[in-house]
Amino acid sequence: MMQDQELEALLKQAPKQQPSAALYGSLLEQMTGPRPFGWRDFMHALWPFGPAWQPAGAFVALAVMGFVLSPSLNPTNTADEFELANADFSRLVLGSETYLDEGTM
Amino acid sequence: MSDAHKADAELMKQVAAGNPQACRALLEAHLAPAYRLAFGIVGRADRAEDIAQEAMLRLWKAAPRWQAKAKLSTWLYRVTHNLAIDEKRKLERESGTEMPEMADPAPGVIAAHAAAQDASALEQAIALLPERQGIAIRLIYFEELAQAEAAEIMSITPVALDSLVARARRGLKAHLEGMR
Repeated sequence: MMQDQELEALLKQAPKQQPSAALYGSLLEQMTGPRPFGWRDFMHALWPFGPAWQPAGAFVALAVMGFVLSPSLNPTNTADEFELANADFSRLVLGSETYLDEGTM
Repeated sequence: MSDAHKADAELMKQVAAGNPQACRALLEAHLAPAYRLAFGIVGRADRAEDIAQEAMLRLWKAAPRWQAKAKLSTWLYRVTHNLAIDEKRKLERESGTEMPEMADPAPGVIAAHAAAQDASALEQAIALLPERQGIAIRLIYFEELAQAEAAEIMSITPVALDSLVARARRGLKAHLEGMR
């Protein structure tokens, strides 16, 4: 039976295939020529600090948070409350129903 | 960050800038190993050259965005490995037969494969190993990679790689013995 050392020596002496000179030349020509500008390069130009999914993920997370939380903020009620407070203030200070922003002149 | 990562990042920066010296250095260091790995998997020089070319061009295209976190050789070997496996599957589909990777393939297939490669007895024996065992042997012995790096390229744990290499060695010894 073949020994471990014999196999080890055989593996170490194995000939190493080489690619053709034509392949080397063709690659060198392409690599030193003009570089194509793809969408990945475009994304990298926009966000050069790491993978583009990071800012995209943050944007999506913010959009989802906005979508989920916005109904609870209820901005229409806020406007109504402002008008009511404005009317209360006018009544108390000016003694009338006149709103501050309508003027009394 | 290790010195190797920094050196890789510096080289890639130069490659991205189109520096011919850096492009030559990149090709001299990495084209032949990528080709050998591809050749070892697909067993055909023409296809291996196509795969090595594609892998090198992907590396070149990635140069402007290269992050010093990755080791260049691991990245390249991994891309080459995946491209070669895909190509091998494609060749198998085209020919309608599985390329030799079983423990005991038909003698005709062995002869054709060996003749096509004009390979040594060792190459023939490696061709008889299961695919992943053959790749593990090539990465560890031919490319002299560290176990951790070879395991990362093959997407397995170092322990699994150890076991794969041990089985491959046993298989190789048996096949080489049988060829004597």
